[in-house]
Amino acid sequence: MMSMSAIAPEAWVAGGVLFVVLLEALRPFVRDRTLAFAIPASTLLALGLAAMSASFWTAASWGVFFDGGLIVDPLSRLLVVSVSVVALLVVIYSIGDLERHGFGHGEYYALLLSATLGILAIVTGANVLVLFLGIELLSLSLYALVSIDRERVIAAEAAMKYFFLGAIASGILLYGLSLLYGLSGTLSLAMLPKMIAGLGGGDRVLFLFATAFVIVALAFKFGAAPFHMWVPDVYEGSPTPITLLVGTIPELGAIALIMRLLVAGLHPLSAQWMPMVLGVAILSLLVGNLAALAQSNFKRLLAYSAIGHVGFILLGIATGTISGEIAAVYYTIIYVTMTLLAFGILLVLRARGRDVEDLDDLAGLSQIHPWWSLLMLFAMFSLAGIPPFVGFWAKLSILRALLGQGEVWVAVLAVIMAVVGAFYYLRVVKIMYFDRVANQKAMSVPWGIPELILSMNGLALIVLGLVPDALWQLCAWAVRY
Amino acid sequence: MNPADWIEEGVFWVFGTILVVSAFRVITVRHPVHAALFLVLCFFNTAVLWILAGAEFLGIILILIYVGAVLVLLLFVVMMLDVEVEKLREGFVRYAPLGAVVALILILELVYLFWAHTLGFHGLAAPIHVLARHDNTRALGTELYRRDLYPFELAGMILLVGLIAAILLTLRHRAGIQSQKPSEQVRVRARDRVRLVSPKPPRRGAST
Amino acid sequence: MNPWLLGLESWFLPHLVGILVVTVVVILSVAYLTYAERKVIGYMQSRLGPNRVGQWGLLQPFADVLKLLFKEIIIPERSSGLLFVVAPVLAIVPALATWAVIPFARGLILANVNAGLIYVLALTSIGVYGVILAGWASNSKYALLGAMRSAAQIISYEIAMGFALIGVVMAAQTLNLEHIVENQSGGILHWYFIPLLPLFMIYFVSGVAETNRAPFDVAEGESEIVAGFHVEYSGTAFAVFFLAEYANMILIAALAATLFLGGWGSPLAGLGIPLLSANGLVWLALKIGVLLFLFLWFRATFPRYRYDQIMRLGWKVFIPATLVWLVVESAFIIGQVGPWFHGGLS
Repeated sequence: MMSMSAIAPEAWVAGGVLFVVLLEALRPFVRDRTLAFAIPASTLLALGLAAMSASFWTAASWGVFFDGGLIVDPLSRLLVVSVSVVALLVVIYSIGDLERHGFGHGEYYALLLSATLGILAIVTGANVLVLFLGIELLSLSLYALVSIDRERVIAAEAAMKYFFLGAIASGILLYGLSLLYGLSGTLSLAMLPKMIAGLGGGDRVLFLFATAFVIVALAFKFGAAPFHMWVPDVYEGSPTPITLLVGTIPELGAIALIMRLLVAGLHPLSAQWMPMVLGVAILSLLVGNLAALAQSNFKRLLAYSAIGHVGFILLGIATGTISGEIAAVYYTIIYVTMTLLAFGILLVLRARGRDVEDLDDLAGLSQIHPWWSLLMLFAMFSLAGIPPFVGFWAKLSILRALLGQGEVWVAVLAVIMAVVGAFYYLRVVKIMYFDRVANQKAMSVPWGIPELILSMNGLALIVLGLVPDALWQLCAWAVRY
Repeated sequence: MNPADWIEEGVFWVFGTILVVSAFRVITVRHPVHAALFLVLCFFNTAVLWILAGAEFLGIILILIYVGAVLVLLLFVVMMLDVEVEKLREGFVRYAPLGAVVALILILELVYLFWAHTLGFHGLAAPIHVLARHDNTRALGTELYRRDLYPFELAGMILLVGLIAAILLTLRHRAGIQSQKPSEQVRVRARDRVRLVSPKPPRRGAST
Repeated sequence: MNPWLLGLESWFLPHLVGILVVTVVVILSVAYLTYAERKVIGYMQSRLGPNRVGQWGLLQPFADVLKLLFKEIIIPERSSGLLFVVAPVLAIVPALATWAVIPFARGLILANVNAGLIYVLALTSIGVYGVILAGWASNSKYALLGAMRSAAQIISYEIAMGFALIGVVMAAQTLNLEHIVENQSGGILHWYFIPLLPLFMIYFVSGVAETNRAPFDVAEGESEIVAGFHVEYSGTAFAVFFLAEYANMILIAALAATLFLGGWGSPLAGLGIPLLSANGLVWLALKIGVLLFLFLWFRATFPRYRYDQIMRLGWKVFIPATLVWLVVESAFIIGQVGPWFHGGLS
């Protein structure tokens, strides 16, 4: 029965996928109103139960299950709960928008759940095979979700690019993993370091070869430069609820993948892969922040900003220290919270008749929607890393880890890039508060639960910023274990 | 070497050669249908080599799934499409230099790899022949459903997602299609189709 | 040293003889199956059928064969020459090669391989290439249309067929055809067609569809596309396609008899009746004969299915039905029902 509790989150989510598909199959026989309630409700229920069952794990539940396929440890608990809760929030923020634009059928929910399942498999994966299958499950669901609005040319283009590049990346990853398997003779992430440590000379060179493939593929899935080409197109091309999804939970999956595969599995080779990760990180910082300056489309801007943030996260990994890894996990969770808020506000504004595509669409927002403008200001300040918002602590923890390793120049570069980043985030605020546009019409829509939760999400940025230690302790405990 | 070993060697070299040649032809023949057929040949020879290596289940499954189903569908599509071969080759000269650079880099990497090989990479052990009566289908099934149950189920979910995605991308409910719905035809009642009216007889004297 | 080739020298010659015998018998059976077809359908339609060549027309098949052999093979001018010639060969080879794993009686089997059932599935699945290539290489629109229909149809029904066979594998817990027959020994009540009746029916109907026989013969569809994929073939090449189609019919019947009707086992086995209770090749031949009669009966009785109806039957009826029955069968296995599922879970 131990293994039952270990697989409970995955089981709930997989059950959710099947149940939603089944409900959708009943469409000819059931009223649309009933389904429009039952499908989101069962999705939320599945995600909620997943989060609950993971949060009940105690020290007695730690262990490896299913013949080394699934690991339950504090890191998986932290990430399973975060992934489930973030997916829950994504659904809550998106429901209204999906209904209005006609994507609210079962397939969105089924694919969202399967994407979540893929990430859960990565998060709790103790075996290279499971990690790969989790990535594939996640990627396939995302390809389909990006092209959900198949009538729009730009969405189809984004989906095509994402699919082709993603398929190549999967091939590269598989090649790297098969080399690893061929050399070590084991799929288990626990055994891998021991096998590598026992080798020398030429075999190590081949291992390095495999590691390079793995890093390229991971950088692609994470959206890090120079493998970032798909990110802006996908952010811009997908409908906003899908962008919200693509921009949040996969990042948690990516950090889990890096922690499991690179940090734990390939630990003996860290001296070799650290420079590679560092290069990718610095490149992402440069590309993301500099390119974001030139963007006039808000979603593209957030896409490049995402690349920049990935650079920060990878910097933490590249230090090769525990505190750097804690900082990376900490940063990822905080980044996802901020992104949720930014895209959530876009969805709320869309419901109020203001479809924000270009930055200029935000002009004069503060007069019509003062509350949402304020929350957007929170998100931007936090993304820029301005105290007292929590984004500041995230950046600080990375910098501290870098300085702890004596990487002064990298830290200086990171600070410069953060300042560059602050420039375009503040430009968004400036447009909202100081640009005037004539002929504004306010559309008042009553608040519902999504608005309430979104506001709490925004306030959480300040609250966490004032007491940053709680989350930090949680991450530290999870990573140290 | 006894005669059976000779035969095994011979089978390997014959089918191996055909495999390599047909793989080469897949990318060099001009017509896509011929390319697909060479791919069939390729898979078939691969299956023979696998069976020779003792993996009879995998070999037969390769034929069953790839040759028997996937490539039939591929051929189906290729035959239906009127692919203009010349158009496909238009970009070739333009991209050739770039391709050459990539090829050069790959060759250099391979050379480096073989160089590293001489430094101490011992290669992988040859597969061990198992006993003739060993049922590797059963062994594979036991592995998949016992030890690798969790990855196996995940792979099942991937297939399900593929199914959902394919339907999501292609299913269109077009309006105005005239198709038979047998159930409706059977359910129909006289009063749905027939309206009984009692026409008044024309008034006497009125001209018709 | 590969175990598959162990003792190759010693069994090479006997097997060569065996292969020859099986091939000749199959071809002779095909010859008389065509005769039977014309006779049976003739009587069903109140005609006499062939009765001119030899006593009761018994030599008619040979007259037909001679006629076809002496006709010229016409290769259409703009056809794809090599493929045009190879296509009939690709059609006949799988139809004959599959006989290698069919057990005719205890120990009487050409190759007793463990994965026999999968081998059968694989070979029947590549039979479709003959049809597709013939259709494409002919460079004729009727031929291409026929080939396309046939390809789609065969692939669709292969799935239902595969699922039906999984039912047999679950019951027998082996892929070895000889063991499957052994597991059904002990009289008619032990045969798998009783607990697996839906699967048996689906398997047989899918088999009819796989062989492009009426009422699923849209690939030939004389009234719509002349003769479908082999419209451009004549003489020996046509004869080979003909041979392949009928050899496949016999094969499907033989497989159905082996998998669901106890193979060479007598229906009265275990009752101790002299002669009738003895197992043997005769029983297998009789079962094949009965099933082949069904093929002919179908052809005389049913009008041709429309193409979309064929697809609907395959995908929306057969595949779900097999899946449901596999679940039911799993319950049987767990409950160890009847004389069929005594092994339980292994």
